[in-house]
Amino acid sequence: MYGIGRRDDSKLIKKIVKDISDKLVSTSWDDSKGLIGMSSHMDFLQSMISTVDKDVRMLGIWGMGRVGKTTIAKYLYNQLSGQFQVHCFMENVKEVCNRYGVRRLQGEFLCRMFQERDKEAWSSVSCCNIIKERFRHKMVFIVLDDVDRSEQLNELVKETGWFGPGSRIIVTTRDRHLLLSHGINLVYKVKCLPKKEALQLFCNYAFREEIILPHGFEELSVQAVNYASGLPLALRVLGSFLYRRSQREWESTLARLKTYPHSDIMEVLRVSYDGLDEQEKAIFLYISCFYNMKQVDYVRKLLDLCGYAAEIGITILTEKSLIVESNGCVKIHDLLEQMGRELVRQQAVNNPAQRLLLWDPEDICDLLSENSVS
Amino acid sequence: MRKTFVSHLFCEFDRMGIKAFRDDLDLQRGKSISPELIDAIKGSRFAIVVVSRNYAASSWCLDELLKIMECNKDTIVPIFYEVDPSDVRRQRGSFGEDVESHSDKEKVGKWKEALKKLAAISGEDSRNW
Repeated sequence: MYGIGRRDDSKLIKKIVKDISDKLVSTSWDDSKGLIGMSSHMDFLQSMISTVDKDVRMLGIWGMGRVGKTTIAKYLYNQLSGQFQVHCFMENVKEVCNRYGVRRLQGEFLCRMFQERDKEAWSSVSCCNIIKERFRHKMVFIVLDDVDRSEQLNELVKETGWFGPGSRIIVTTRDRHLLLSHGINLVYKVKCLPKKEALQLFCNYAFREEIILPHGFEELSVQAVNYASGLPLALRVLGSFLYRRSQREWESTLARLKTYPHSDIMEVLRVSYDGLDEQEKAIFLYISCFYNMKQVDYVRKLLDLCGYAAEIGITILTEKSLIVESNGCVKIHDLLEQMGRELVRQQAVNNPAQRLLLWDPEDICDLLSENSVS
Repeated sequence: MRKTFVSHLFCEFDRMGIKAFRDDLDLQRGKSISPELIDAIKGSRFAIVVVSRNYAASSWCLDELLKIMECNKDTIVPIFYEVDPSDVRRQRGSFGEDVESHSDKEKVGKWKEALKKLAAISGEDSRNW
């Protein structure tokens, strides 16, 4: 009897753990752990988005870089898109548009709206007319993430009349004026994380699975959070850097940050870079100069060719939150990209030929015309 | 029995790489819920409540349940271990007697409310296995 009971228990146990394991996966939030501070954002946003009124509404989510606009938009999208007939999330609008032009952006948009794989299908038709015509009677939910020019809005979501009753369109941007000039008056401003949430996010990275803050680290954590100024990226990078380090290492890191009176974000990020070994530093610089948004396999191959241990290097940089892998691509946050490029420039400010890498086309042209590079 | 069950459960979580916090092992059970346990409850993404036949006899368990209901409203998984969930919901039979046996009547009211809510959440019933 006892034996039988035990055997049944083990099945039950497997089931319980499997269920939790599945739920943990589905609630994991791509590269950001947890959803800290989300409920307070939702308090404001939910009424703005609510589809009780059947008007067509455009809403702006506005705030400085890396403050969490995309995370909020993704959360809304995941929560609400199911209620709409057609929906799509367009990430990195700025990037796609700069790189491939606005027509590609439209093609991409239509592919997603119609859930089609074939990106070429829309290359020879007037996308604008299709967008204008086909969604008039559909209740749509569209997120345009990181928009930086009016043109992008005009080509995709020019007028509310293009979309059916109850449609909701969300635009995230750093530029408030852009929203207002497009007639978007509903604007939610994303502020930096308040102290408590900032601490929570930081601890998720600095202590990972530890549920309880280890003794002696409470005060240090509060200090670290102050340096990161409530900016999620800085909190993640600093937290990852301090993970598994001793109390003394924490103290010396924080002492170093103390010498910069204005809690300069770049210095916070720099701490993490300085903690890398030479190989990892070089890989980071390569990625920040050339490989942002490139396929991981491709980046790995090229770095291997340059004589770097790419596999482990990329893993380490990911663990340190300096890069993220998503959809098979290496991505680097723009603040870090900027930092990497600046570091390269500083290697030899007046003499580009002595730098490890050259990424600025102007510098390259100058050098080639001087013929001083072999 | 409950102890064995919980330790097997704990091992399985461990095997799957999921960090679980065990109230009966990691903490000395005292008279009241320690701040450490409260932090653990708050810091957890899921709370698994194993309700055994003797569950309601322990004021410590019931107090812990109150805390859990307060903190992790949406992520509680009740496991009814050798006990009828409807007895838990309606506090019938020996389970009900155990709840009533505590002297602090104000608390008993709160506990009953929490047990009712707990039993309404979909979970697992060991008798089905």
